[in-house]
Amino acid sequence: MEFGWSAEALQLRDDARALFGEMVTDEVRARVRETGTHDDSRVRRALAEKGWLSAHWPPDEGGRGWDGLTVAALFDEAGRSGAPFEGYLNTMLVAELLRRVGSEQQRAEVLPRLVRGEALVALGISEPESGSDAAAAKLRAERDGDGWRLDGQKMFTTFAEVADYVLVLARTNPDVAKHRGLTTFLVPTQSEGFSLAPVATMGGERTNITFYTDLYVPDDARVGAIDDGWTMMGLVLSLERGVFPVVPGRCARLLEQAVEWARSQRDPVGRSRLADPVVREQLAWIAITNEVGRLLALRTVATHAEGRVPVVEGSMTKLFTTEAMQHVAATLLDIVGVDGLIADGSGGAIGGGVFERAYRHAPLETITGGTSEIQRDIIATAGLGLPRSR
Amino acid sequence: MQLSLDIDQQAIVAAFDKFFSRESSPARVRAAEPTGFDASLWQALVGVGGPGIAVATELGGGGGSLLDAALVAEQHGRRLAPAPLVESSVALRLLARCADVGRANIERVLEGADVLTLALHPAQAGIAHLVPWGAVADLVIVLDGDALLLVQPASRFAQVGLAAEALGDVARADAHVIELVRGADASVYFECAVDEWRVLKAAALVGLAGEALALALAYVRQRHQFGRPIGSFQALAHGLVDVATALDGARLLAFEAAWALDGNPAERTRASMAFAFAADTAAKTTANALHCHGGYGFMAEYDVQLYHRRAKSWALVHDSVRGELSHLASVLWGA
Repeated sequence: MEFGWSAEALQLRDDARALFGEMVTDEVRARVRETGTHDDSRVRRALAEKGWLSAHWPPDEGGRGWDGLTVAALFDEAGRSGAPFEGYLNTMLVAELLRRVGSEQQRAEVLPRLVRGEALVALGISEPESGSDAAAAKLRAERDGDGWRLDGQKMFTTFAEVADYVLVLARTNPDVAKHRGLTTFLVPTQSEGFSLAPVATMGGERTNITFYTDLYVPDDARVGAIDDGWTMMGLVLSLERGVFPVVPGRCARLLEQAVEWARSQRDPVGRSRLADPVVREQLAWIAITNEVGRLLALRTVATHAEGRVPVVEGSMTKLFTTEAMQHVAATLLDIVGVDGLIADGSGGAIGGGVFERAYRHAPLETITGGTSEIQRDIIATAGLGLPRSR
Repeated sequence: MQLSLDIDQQAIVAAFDKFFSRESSPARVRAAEPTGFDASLWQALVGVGGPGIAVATELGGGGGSLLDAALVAEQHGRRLAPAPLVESSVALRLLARCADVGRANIERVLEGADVLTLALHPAQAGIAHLVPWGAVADLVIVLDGDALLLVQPASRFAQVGLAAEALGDVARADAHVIELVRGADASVYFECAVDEWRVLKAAALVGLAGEALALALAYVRQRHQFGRPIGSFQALAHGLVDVATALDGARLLAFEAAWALDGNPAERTRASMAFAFAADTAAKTTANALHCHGGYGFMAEYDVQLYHRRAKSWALVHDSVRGELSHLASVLWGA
């Protein structure tokens, strides 16, 4: 057992810090806040050019053959920097899926564009009537000659406004158990019959409802076997839950900002806010949960790097870090007090309104990518061996 | 970075799992109450090299790292072993730092002739108050002012209560006292030993909590109410998941803290984090585990209550979670 970073990882961390420092300018941050789209094509292409997000792939598949844990050194920096690269992260989850199960044509034509940061993929899983019960998806895909006709809607298709594809979970067989009648398709957003409606959120992030109306795709668009879509989704979601851990880095940065703030403030008798025993206790607890979250995330990455699907490890990471993030956001806002309520751009905002923004954003974390309750169900059955609850 | 145990570490875990399962059954743990000390377990533990595992081989120890000692401590915690493993382990390492005056006493401990412990707080007015194993120890390391002392208590008196660590006051008066170190080094050595104690106790608390969780999981799988195993109720299952998740984090953090101290004895942050988080997690885990047993959990006959009481006392002989957070804040951000 050894917890130190390799020299390679430390170098990567420094490189990542430099890259994000250069690319993630105030202008980029302002534009992301304005549009709500957490993607920036320059940041994305710069990351792609470095090849970091596919560095753990073998060289003959375009990777660098790096240890998966080396790459993890990047995510802490990515989280700290607030870099708008979630769109690229989603895309690379799909890239990982295509690398493993994609057709020859998908691996030859689509995959390189994703890896190069030229094309984005949004995830089309949730529907208006199915969120946690994702396998209850109703969007239909029916055979039409050599291809398929899709009809239905997807909810919370974040990044669809900039994406070239949506990975759509569709019902291909309504006559079998719900998990067994699903198929995944990589649907081009240029397809006739595709449309979207933007959805505004409390956190300022933009998401969408996407509509698929008599939309034709050739069979080439299918990812994985017919009626095996649930396996594909399981793979994507398990990768989403902790293989790219950015939440611990975000929380670490928030803590640093709160400590800087508390150190600089004086109470009416001239005492530093950082001398307040209650504040110190709260900040110390956050320092601990940040470190625990970081370690759980690293364990998930390590499991993945060993070639195993980190089902329980990923769910534990997702559950712990997102619940912790909500505690972090709420506690730090409390510590900063009324001044923390002021949003960026409104004059007098503390640290660019970072605590206000974190508090607005935090509720999303325990919902997206599978709610905390879904994670707990997974851990209870797959990790603790408890009987199924449903 | 390598987050799983290597082959040698797995061998340590397997050996001490076997040892504590055999020598520290729930019946033995109960028989050792109320003082909490089982002299024959202690002899056996010394015999297999438990307390000396992280002492240099030229001093008669096992030559292992603090991380190795943490692996032993976790297994000790799983079986609530009624013996001063953690305290003697760090006290031995402290003696090893104290040149000949300290080293001369190591052999007697490793032979099983003397029981050694460490007072976790400096003496006040010549008395170290409620020292774990102070009621049974032959040798107690005490920081008194600017002197680090090895005290051989003249009389010993066990105070009973929630704890099962043979708590006893250790008075300087009438005792035979050897001065180990005087001056600035005394408190540096002492703080270092307490940091090592934090790490090993964190590992022991992780072991304790892990076994309490295992008891709860076994129980909720077999106990039926309303026609179903109670483990299928989310209200119970999700609470167990939360503590299981925290516990996995606490284990990683305890081992990381041991690794960090092995590399740099002045690295104080993670020792404090590991102790605070393990203490918090152990208390929550055992409370949850006991609750899942319903009324049976409250019965003396059920083992889970043994775990619940120690989850609190093992930590509190040093400090509460909130007290430790205050210490951590000082380490991180100064006074």
